[in-house]
Amino acid sequence: MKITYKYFYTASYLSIIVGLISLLLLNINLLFQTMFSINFSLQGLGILLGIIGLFNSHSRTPGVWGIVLNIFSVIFIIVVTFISLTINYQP
Amino acid sequence: MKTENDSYINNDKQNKIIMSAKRKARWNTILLMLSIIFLILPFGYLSTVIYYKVNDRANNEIFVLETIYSLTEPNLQVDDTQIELEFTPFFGLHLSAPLYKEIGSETLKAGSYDSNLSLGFKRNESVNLTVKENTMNLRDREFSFIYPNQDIPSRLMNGLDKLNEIPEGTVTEAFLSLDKSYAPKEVESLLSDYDIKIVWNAVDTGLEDEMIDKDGSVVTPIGYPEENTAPSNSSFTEEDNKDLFVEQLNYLDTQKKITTSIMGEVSIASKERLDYINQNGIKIYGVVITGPTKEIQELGTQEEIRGIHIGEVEFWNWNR
Repeated sequence: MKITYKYFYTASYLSIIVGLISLLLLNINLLFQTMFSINFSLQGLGILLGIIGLFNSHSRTPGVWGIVLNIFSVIFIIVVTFISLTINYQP
Repeated sequence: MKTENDSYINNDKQNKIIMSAKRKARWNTILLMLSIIFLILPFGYLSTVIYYKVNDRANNEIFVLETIYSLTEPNLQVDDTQIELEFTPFFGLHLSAPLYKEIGSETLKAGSYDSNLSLGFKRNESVNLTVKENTMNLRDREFSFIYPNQDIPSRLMNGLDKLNEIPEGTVTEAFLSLDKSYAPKEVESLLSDYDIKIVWNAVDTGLEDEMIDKDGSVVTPIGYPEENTAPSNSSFTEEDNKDLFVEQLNYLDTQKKITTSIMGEVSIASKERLDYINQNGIKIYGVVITGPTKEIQELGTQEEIRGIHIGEVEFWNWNR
């Protein structure tokens, strides 16, 4: 039982760490004015780990936290890319 | 039955639990702090992008800039396909654009325009020109053209002498002030016998005599490029250069805030000018032309030409 709890707990915290890494990459993109990567595999992994964490009451809060960070990264990239295309778009 | 010793956790175990809880709390705090720090910039950037998207603020900034250059800077145009736009977090917008001039048959880079908007309203702009700046002395209200009923200043009177000094085999940009306001068709026929190209038309809007609007602010000369085209992505619909000019002036009238922030202390007086144009139609009192120097010299001797201001001179590139 304790081993199962540890797995969920680790998955939740890994989800937060993956979310932080994707946010860090966003910050680097913004600071150096480079293009955002449209590859969402990192955020996908973070969301998956967060969902695993949701299945245990002890790891639920960090699981939600990780999911929120990763979803924010995805929404940020999609919204900014979409809006940028509508401003002075040059094909 | 539990003994007293069983109900207590021994000291080692207690310490372990406390240390583990402390470690967990410390890591939670670190992760929380990192989350907050890493979210600040993306949140600021997202707010900025949304702010400039609402009411099409960013596009209006671009279109107003292009329109102002097109209508108030004779023969100086912003290339709308090369405008670069960068958002900076916390409501910053950086716009940069190359400026072009038409001299002879070539369109040459004339410099660059940069503007930084911070907090959505505070503008810091710089214009770096690699060519001679258009005459715009606000204090003495001296511009590249002179209105028909005004005395010709010496700077425009000796334009023909300057042209005589320019060697053959060159092309010149010249600002011609006419003896009266003509209809655009009349200007075309006036210049049709010469191998030159009309680049920009200075329009008589009733304010050119004094160059002051009803509020007492100095106004800029206004007009339209002969090849007046709407910026790509804009909502301008007119195709005729004169109709597009009126549409552009109407647009500037609706974008007073941005127009004022770009023009600074100089007024564009769009409303007054529109009223005058709607009543009197479009009349031209000055033109910017380009072409072979000798051809312009010959044209300059015509009695309809009151004053000539010489702009840029380039090596021969005339192939019309």
